[in-house]
Amino acid sequence: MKYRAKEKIKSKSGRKQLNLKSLMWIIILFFLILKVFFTIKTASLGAKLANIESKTHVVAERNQDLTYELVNSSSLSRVQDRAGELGFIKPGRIVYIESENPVAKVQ
Amino acid sequence: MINRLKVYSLCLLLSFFILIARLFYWQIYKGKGLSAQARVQYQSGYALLAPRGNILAADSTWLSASGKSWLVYGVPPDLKKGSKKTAETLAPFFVEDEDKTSLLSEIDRINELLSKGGIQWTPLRTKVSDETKQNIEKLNLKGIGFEFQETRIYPEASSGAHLLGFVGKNNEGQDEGYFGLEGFYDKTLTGKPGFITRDSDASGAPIILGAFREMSAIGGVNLLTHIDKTVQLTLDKKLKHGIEKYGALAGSAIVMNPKNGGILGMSSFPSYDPQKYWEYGDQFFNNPTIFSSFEPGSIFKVLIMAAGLDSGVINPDTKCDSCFGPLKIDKYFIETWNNEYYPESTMTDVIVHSDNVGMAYVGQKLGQEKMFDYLNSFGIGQNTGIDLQGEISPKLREKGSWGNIDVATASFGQGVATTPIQMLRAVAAIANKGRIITPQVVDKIIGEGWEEDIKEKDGGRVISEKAANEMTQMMVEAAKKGEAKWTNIGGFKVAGKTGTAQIPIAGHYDEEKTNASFIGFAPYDNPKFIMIVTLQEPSSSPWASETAAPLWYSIAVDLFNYFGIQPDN
Repeated sequence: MKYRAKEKIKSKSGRKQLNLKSLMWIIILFFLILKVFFTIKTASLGAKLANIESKTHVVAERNQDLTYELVNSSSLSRVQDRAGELGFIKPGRIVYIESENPVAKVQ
Repeated sequence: MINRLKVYSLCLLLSFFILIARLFYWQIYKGKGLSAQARVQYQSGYALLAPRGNILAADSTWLSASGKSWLVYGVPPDLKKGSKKTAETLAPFFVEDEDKTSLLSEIDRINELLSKGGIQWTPLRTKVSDETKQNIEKLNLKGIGFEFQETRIYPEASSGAHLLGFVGKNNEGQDEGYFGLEGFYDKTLTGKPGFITRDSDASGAPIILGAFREMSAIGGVNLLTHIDKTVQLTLDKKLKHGIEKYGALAGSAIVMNPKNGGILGMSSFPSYDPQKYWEYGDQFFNNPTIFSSFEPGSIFKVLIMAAGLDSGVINPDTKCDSCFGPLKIDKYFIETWNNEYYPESTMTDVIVHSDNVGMAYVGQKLGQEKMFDYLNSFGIGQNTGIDLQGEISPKLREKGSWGNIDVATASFGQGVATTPIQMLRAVAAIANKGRIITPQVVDKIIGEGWEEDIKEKDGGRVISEKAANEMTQMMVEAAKKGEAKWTNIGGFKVAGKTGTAQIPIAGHYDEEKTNASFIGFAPYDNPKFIMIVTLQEPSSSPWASETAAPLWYSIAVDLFNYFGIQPDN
C-alpha cells in the first residue's frame, strides 16, 4: 500500500512538471507567433503608411496646383482685360436720379 | 591520441582568436563607418516645406502668393546624349527671346556646366515653370532632373509693386523679402521648414517601430491688407495715363481711409515687375510715396492755416492786413503765385486764392515756436510709422533756429520737405476731426486657426474739432472757387487743395520745373477716402490746377461711383 502511495505521489509531481513545461512551451510559442504576427503587421502598416503618404503628397500637389489656378483666375487685372475683350466698358456718364415723392408706397 | 586532441584544441583556440580578431575588426575598428553606412541604408528623411505666407487684398484675394517652380539640374555621368546635344535640346526652353544670339549663348552656358570634369550634379536653371518642366519631361532626357523650388507670384503683375516689394535671395542664398510689405513683414511671412527622419525598409517604406524623429514645419502667416484691388487698379491705370498726358517724369498717388488709416491703394510710376525684379535697376525699388521727399508747396498751407485756427491767432473771417502787395521780409519779397493781390482778404480767401502773402501773415501770427510744435504734432519731420519697408523722413529745421523768412516760406510750403505719405497723414487729421491716425497697410495677420487684428493707431488730437471743421470748410471753398475750380465736379462734397512747388536746385529754385500735387477728401462731412496725387515736373503745364487736380478728380469720379458716394443735388 505504501509503495502504491509513493508511486501516486511521483506520478502527481511528474504530471505537474510536465504541465509546467508544456505551459512554458505554449507561452514561448505564443510569443513567437505574436512576434511573427506583429512583425508582419508592422511591415504591412509601414507599406500602408508609405502609400498614404504618397497619396497625401499627390493631394497636396494637386491642391497647390488648384490654388495656383485660383490665384491667377482671381486676378482682377485679368478679369478687367477679359471684360474689355468681351466688349464691356465702364459707364461713361452716370445719371443720379432724385425723387421728391416716393415712387412706391406701402399702404 | 592525446597529441591529436592537443592539435584539435589548438586549432579550435586559434580559430576562436581569429574569430575574435575579425569581430574586433568589424565591430570596433570598422564599426563606426559600417554603422554610418547602415544608417544611410535604413534611415530615410525628407524636409517638410514651410511655404511663405500670402499677402491678401481686403476681399481676401491674392496680391502675392507662393507658387511652384523647379530647379533643373544635370547629372553629367548619367547623360546619354552628351553635353552638347543635351544643351541644344534644353536651351530653347530656357530663353525668353528666341533670337539666335541668346539661344547660342544659352547653349554654350549649359554645355559648359555639363561638360565640367569631375562633377556629379550641376544646377542648370532655377525658377522654371511647371509647364516648361512638363515639356522637358516629355523628352525623357537621361541625366536631367528637377527639384521643387518655392517661387513668389504676383497675380496683378506690377500693380502695387512698390507697395508689395519682392522676394529675392540674401547672402546665404535664402529667400528674403525686400521693400514694401515683403520687406517689412519678412519674418512674419517666412515659414520655418521642418524635417522627418526615420528607419525604412529596403523598399523605402517606414518601419513603424523603428527610430522616428520629426520637427514640424511652421508655415508663414498670411497678411490681410486694407488694399482694395479696385482702388489699386484704378490708381495704377489713371496715374499712368495722367503721367503720359501731362508729360510728367514720375508720379504717385495714395488713397487712404482717414478714419482708421487703412491704405486702400498706393501707386507710383515708373514702376517694376516684382516677379522679374532682377531685370530692373535699384532706383526702381524704393517706394516714392514713402521715400521721395519734396517741397509740398501750397498743399502745406492747410496745415499752417489749421494750426492758426486751432491756436486762435486767426479765425476764418480774420482779415489779412498785409495782402495788398508783395511782402518784404529781411531782404526777400514774398509774392503771390500769379502776382495778383487781394487786400483785406479773409483767411478763407487766402486759402481759396492760395495766397502766399496771406499765408506769410498767418505764419507771422503763429510764430516760429508754435509753428514748429504744430508741424511736429502733424508728424512733419517724423516717420509716419506706416508698415512698409523703406520709409524716410526729411528733418524739420531745429526748433529755435527758424528765421523770419523761414517761417514765412514754410507757411506756403517752401523751404520744408515732406514725403507724400506724411502729407496724407497730416491732412487726414483735418478730415478726421482733428485726430491723427497712423497709416496702415495690413489689417489682420492670419495664421492657421488664429488671427490677430492690427488695431488702428490713434496718435491723439492735433487740433480741435472746431478748427478741423473750419479748415475743412476752407478746403471745400478752395475746391469750389480756387484755381482748380474748373475741374471740380459739381454736387460732390469735396474738400481739397492744389500745390505747385518749385524745385530747389543747388541753392536756388528752378524757374521752370515744378512738382504739382493735389490733396483732398470726400465726402467732406463723412469722408470715405482721402487722396493725394503728385506729379514730378509735368511738362504740359507747371501748375497743379491744370495737371494734378484734374488727375485727382478723374480718379475721384471712379471712387465716387465705387464707394457709392452720391452728389448733393
